[in-house]
Amino acid sequence: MKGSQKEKGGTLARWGALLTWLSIAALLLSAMVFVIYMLDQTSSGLVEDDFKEIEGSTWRSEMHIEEYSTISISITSKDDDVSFTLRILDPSDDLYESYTDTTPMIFDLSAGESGSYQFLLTIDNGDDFKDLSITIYSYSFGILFMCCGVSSLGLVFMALIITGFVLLMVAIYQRNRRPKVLLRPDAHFQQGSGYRPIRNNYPDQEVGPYGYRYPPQQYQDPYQNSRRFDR
Amino acid sequence: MSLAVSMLFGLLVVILPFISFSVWALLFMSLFPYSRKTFPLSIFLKEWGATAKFISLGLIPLFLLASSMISAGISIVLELGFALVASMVFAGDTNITLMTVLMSAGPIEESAKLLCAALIYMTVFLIWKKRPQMAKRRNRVKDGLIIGLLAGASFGLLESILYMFSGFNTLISRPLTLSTIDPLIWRFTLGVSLHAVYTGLASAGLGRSTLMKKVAFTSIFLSAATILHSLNNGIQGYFTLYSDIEGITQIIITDIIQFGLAASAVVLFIVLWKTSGPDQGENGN
Repeated sequence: MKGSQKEKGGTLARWGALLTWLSIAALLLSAMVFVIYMLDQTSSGLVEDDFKEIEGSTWRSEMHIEEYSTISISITSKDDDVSFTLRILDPSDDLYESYTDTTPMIFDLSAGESGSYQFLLTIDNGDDFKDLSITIYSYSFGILFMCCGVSSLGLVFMALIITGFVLLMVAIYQRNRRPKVLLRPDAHFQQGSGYRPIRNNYPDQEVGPYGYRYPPQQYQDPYQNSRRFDR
Repeated sequence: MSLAVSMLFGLLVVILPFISFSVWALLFMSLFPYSRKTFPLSIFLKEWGATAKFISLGLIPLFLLASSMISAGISIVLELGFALVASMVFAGDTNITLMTVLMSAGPIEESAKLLCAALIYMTVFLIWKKRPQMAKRRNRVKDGLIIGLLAGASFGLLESILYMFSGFNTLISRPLTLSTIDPLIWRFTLGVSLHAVYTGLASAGLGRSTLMKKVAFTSIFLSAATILHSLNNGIQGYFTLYSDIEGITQIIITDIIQFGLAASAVVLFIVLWKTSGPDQGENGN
């Protein structure tokens, strides 16, 4: 059978549905790559148990950080306003940053060079260090990771969802396009006699396009499909 | 911690909310057979046959994505703005600022989700108006509730993925205890479904027949959803910031109260559903 309007709509709808679902898969895959990367960075970070006391009220820990990374630091406590000083020493043991603050403190800073950074934490008002909850980790979005991982999948997502959306809209347009109308063979002789034209593309429906019922037996016309008239 | 664990956790972050969504959707469809005729979004296409089924199938992710993006976008902007104002008003008192921000999520998120549900319902309504035969033998109130559920679930999916990430991020750097695993269990069981039920409640007025009924039902049930949502957040904030109860006891009490609030929301939704007229109802109630 020659490709009819209904078939065209059907094919487009199938492809549209497939592409929109594939776009969601690409989006989730992209999210998964990003999450795995971030979790992997966190897992190599520091927590409060990694700090060792070096002198009264001062604890020390160190971590290797790649160049141009972002260092994410979170220091919280059950009871707020624990006063502390955090000093960060760079790989050449020079003071890189120093912060005096109270909990909660959550912030990010950038690391310049690659190497082992030291974190020295001094509790100023003598509170117990074990009350603190500390998380320090670093992450860097390398060009390879961003291009090959998240960005490319993001672009694939955009391409798929836009194409899928367009296909679905075209399918809806084709499906809704005003169909050609079949009249009974003698309908043109009966215009104005109360007879209404019927469409033949709803063969399985008991309710016609204008909302009135037309049981098939009402029109037992052997010539029903023999002639075609445009409206 | 090895890369394999990170990969496993990364997979779970994305997959668990969808499993939760699927389980709750199947449960809902088995309990309320009418929803099978409507879900997923075949409301305005079900009479069309095979082509329409594929169009409907293709539109589902678009609706879910658009709905979650719009409601989450509006919520984030408003909540950040509110947090900024709260931090200026309650300058110096971190706990009150945090509590205010937590409680504000209720009205802001519920309004944003209801806006999305209303936009989807309006689209459906316009198509029904163009093709009235599609609206026959439908209960529009129940259709409105289902659209609300979908809009809420799409927001819940997005939020759950973010919270799951945060939860697994904690789990990967700390020992496995009840305090580290509890947020994940809570998000898995109720993260998606509770948002869906809240928005389902707020959408009670969508399919009503007159403007008065629409306004009245929306006002009442949007308020109910907002109060329940704010209480749910507030309880968490109260026990974390103010209460002397600590450790496992704090987690268990918080969970019991939150599950109680969730159960009351579900009961309210079931009552609303049961009083929404027969499944074969004609155009509005």
